[in-house]
Amino acid sequence: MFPTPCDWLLRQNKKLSFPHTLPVLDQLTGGLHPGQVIELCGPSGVGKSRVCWHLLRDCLHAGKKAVVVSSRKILGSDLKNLPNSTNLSVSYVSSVYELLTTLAALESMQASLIVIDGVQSLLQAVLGAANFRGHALLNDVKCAISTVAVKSLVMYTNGLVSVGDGNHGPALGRAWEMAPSVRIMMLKEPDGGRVMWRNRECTARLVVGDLGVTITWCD
Amino acid sequence: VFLKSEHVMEAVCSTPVITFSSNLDTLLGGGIVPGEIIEFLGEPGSGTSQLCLQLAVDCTIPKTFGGRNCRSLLVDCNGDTCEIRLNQMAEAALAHLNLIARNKEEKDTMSRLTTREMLSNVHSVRCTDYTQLLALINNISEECDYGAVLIDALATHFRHEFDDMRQRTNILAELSNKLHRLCIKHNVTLVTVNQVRMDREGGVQPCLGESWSHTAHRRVFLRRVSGDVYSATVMKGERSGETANFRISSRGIRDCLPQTT
Repeated sequence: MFPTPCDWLLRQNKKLSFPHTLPVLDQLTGGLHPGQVIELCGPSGVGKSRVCWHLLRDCLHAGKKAVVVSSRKILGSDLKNLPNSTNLSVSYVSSVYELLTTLAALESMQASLIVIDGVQSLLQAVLGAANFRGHALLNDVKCAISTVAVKSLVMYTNGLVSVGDGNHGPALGRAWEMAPSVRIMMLKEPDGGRVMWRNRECTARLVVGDLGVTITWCD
Repeated sequence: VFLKSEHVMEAVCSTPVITFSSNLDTLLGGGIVPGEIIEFLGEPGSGTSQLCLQLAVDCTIPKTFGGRNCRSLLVDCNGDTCEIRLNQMAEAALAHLNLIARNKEEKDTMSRLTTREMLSNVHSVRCTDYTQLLALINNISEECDYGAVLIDALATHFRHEFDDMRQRTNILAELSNKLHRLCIKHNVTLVTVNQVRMDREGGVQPCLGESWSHTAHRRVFLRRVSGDVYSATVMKGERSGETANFRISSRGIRDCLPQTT
């Protein structure tokens, strides 16, 4: 990697950012622009993938390139309302090594948005090993994500694990906490609503609908 | 490494497997689609095994009637696959198709279809511990001529056999990866049945922990309401939070009878 002049980086940034329809999420995360690595963390079914697909729709409607890296098959229900364009690239990964290969291949693509969905099970599978190779691999993934995040907006989903006493915390442990630039926690309330927050003072409400998601401030 | 977009867009138009209850099918967005992992959970006696048997039979519906006409594999971890019940469901399905056959093509198909032929496409295998289950998934990952794999009930072998919870989480994570790889590679519909346990407040919670809950694309909670009426609530996926009622009769899964006032 060679040093690059900042005005070139700024122009690249402008070239690859895309208009989106989630202004509250923009403020919550400190900006949905290239250079950010955003983690959406929450229990199963709270709507992490829905938010990602909403942004993917926005990106494709704006005519920019988007990449989805997923361990799960993408279903018709995710793809509806999507413009039929060749700007969407999909890669299915089923192991950490495939994830690293895909992330390396992403450097040459000029993608505006990279969504990495459902990979905490891949990473958890290596973390459980008795030796420390798991942590080294996790570090490799962290570095690979940071490298692609220089030019693109990276968004990924994480789940929860129990941390004892019936409480839950983000999966992948303390070592992973440094990986994202922003971690957005999401939770389902007892009345059925969903909230997302970065720190406890600032919460937003998430509503999932047929055409996408709506995020509004809680007040 | 990267797929062409037309391969991805194929997922939009894929034939779902129906359940013979139109309320339940609407809740599931038409049925269960290829490539998806759907998890049904509920207490014992909430209709999960019956739903598996019905879906296994429904996979064999011929293409002329909008079905998938594929082989299905019932993985039996509990020992409650009842061949007599499968036969009953297949006969009822055949009778229903005979009733709705209208044009010549459909009538021709029905004149050649028998219960025996339908059931020859439903395979069943008994797994008595988790290593057998893993070995089975490894076997069918190479060459899979099944269109649907139904695992009833996955939680059985993971609830009591492990002293070391870390080992259990690892094995479940690996199983999750293998199942997704199977679905992606062979475009298989996967149905897993999970069990529930009590949580601190006295409510029910799915078994196998938080990490397993991210595996399925969709999760549906089944509950017995009264008599032969059961309800299904979507916990994760499209139409999250919505409920539908269905009935389990001698013919299999069907819609509820209209209420007489």
